[in-house]
Amino acid sequence: MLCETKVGEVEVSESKILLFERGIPGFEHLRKFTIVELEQTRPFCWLVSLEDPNVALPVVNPWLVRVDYSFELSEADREELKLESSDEIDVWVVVTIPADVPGEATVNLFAPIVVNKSRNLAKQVLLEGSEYKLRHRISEELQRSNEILKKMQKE
Amino acid sequence: MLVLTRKVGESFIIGDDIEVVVLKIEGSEVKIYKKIVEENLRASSVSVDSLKGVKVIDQDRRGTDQTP
Repeated sequence: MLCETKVGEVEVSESKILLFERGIPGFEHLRKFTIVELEQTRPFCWLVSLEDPNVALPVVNPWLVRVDYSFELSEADREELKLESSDEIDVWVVVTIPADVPGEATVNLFAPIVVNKSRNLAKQVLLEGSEYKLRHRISEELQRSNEILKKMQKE
Repeated sequence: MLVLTRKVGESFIIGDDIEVVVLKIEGSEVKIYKKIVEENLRASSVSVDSLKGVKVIDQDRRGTDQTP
């Protein structure tokens, strides 16, 4: 299926369509999304709406920003995503770039997008009570992560 | 003290001519949700080009090879 999206025309196979049963905050009316990898923005990908060609959010693998990122899914989120213990998940975090200044880019570690790969169900979950915030500056996280990686290499 | 329970959109009447309608209920959960809405809207307004200058951890150092 060829889809017109914000990042251009993309070929999307049925098996790559992610269903957000309750939409995404801000885009509650949209259900169907897919992850698009663009050569020119790698390793950043795009969470692209298949229903509104104006909607695409830049996302990234959180562990490329914060090496020790970790969280536990609530029982309610597990149920909504119909996750069973054997199901594999994908995790993405949304990237924001204020006024298009790359050095100021932040990631939302508080509300990761969790995908049940077996069922293609997805949800932006809220990690309430966690140490994570809506805005973590990528440059600062990177410095922190590199220090952790250095220590690990020494050990 | 009289305690009334009403949901959004419901109302109660005081006397003959005052009707109180609950327009919205805002708790901390709603506030957090609103912030995420703002953040997502901000994120979606970005251009493809502006992402080019953002650096992340070198994937080879993490030992995960995601290159094609």
